[in-house]
Amino acid sequence: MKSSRIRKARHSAGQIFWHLVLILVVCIFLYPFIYMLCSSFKKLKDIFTAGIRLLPKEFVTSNYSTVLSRLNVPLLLGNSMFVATLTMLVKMVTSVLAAYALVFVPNRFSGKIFYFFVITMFVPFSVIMLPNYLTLSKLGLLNTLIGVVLPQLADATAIFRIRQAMRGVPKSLIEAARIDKVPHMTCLLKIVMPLTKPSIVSMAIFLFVNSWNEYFWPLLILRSNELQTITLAMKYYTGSEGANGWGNVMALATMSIALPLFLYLIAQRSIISTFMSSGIKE
Amino acid sequence: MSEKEQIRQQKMEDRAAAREEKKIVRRANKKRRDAMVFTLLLAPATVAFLVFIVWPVIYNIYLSFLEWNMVSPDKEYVGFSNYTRIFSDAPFLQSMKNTFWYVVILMVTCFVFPYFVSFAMVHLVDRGQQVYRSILFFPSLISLAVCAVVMSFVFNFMTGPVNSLLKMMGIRGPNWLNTKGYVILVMGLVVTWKVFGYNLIVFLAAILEVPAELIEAAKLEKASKHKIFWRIIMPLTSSTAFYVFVVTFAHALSYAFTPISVITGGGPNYQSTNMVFQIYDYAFVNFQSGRAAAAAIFMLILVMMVVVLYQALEKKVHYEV
Repeated sequence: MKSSRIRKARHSAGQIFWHLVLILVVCIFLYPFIYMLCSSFKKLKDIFTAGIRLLPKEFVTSNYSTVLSRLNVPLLLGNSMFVATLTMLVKMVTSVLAAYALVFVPNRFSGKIFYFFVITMFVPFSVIMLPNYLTLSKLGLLNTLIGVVLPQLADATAIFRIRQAMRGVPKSLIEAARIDKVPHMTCLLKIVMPLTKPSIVSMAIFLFVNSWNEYFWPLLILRSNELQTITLAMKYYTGSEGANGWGNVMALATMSIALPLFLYLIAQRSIISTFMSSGIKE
Repeated sequence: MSEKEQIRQQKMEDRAAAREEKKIVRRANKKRRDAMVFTLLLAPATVAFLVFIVWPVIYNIYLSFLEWNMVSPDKEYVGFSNYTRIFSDAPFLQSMKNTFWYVVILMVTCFVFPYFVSFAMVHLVDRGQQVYRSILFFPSLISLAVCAVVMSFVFNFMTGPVNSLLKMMGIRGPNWLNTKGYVILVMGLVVTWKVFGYNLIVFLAAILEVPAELIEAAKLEKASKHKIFWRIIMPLTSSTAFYVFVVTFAHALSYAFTPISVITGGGPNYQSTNMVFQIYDYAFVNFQSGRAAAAAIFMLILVMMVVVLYQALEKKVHYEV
């Protein structure tokens, strides 16, 4: 009786200890984000003298109004929106079609083709950046938003994840429909997509956010200021403001992650579960 | 058997044969149609991959044997001299050294660390797993450019909170971004902020798949926590661990590019540059496409060696388990 109580007490002491450790880890990972958010509402002097204090002494929104007056933020957001939406849509269509073919259309090359897609995930982008730049320049797509979209289309993440989700759909369902002469397109739209909707939606959000965050292709392709995406503008704006612009830079950073953050908040459960279906074990 | 009957028999056989033949034709048709559908469905994705990954790899190999400034119409064949030259180029050698350290740092922060944290989340605490994982996954959605800028402020040596904290503890914090060694650490932490969450989720999924009875049985036998981790969790999640290892390796080679480009430009004195940034520098700052291509192929070989090694090891692990 007594010993079990002691064991329980020791047990919960261990629990509390590990909770504290995990909370510390969470704090460390959230800290930069909270620092950014808080600093964006501080006066410059307040940022410099704050030390480790996070909350602003005096809550100001002047950083935001300064950024909005110096940069055409709606235009930057619009450019990012265009690039991210187009990239996401095209990638989703090609990936859903490809995943369906790999899972439901019997073919002896399925395995090899899937393997090919997976291997491309490991090709470092330093290998493809120079030839792709030359290709885009030949196509006359330098300094265009389409030029930023195109090289992002070759990415197997979505094929990989959507294939994983589709493997959860019973094959017999599709086989039965095929015997009744239901065309593949109808099978895809009416059976497979409704059944894998959570994964497809979360993959769409994930691809959108990834493309929104893309830094390299905008850096390489875009020259004119009015074509910059918000992520690229972070670099140039930080460089041009120097130490006097800390508050402004933090305000711009906050604005640039507002949309991804919002999307994550509404879909976080299904995004995480899509990534948890690891797909490494067959 | 009458002649009539024979004829009927013959007719029936003929009909059966015809039916059979029709079936074969239909099956062949179906197969052909399936092959066509398969091709059509895969074509859009495959075109993108051929144009923007396969062709670039091939073209890169070709470029690595040429001397070319990316503009002039004539390219000169120079054999392996681009390869020998990059290995005598001090900045590139430095970038290789730095890349090695990036790999070491990220293996600790994005492979070992999330392995333990996910174990703690599943087996060391009873509740809160979902809250922890939602929060810890969240930073992976922030762009590396934003991560980099924010971290450069957090680690600012005059007014950043890290040095303020150290000062309160009576330690004079270093000038992080301008000091050899520390600068790589900060850049590595930027990438960690981004990559940690994904890896945590993958490990979490694998650890949750380990049968609960095994853990319960071990607990009844009063096995210690680290014994449970080393003897049960590790062997049963090894294939996931290999996978995360390879992915982390690939990220470690490349991801530091963004923070380098946004904050340090490779400095001070090439102390934070990595191979990708040097390749970018060869190609788009110095217009030496040959050296850039040679260095890129070198990186490709490095990654592919690790991938092949992974596959060999993975097969072995599968047989053993």
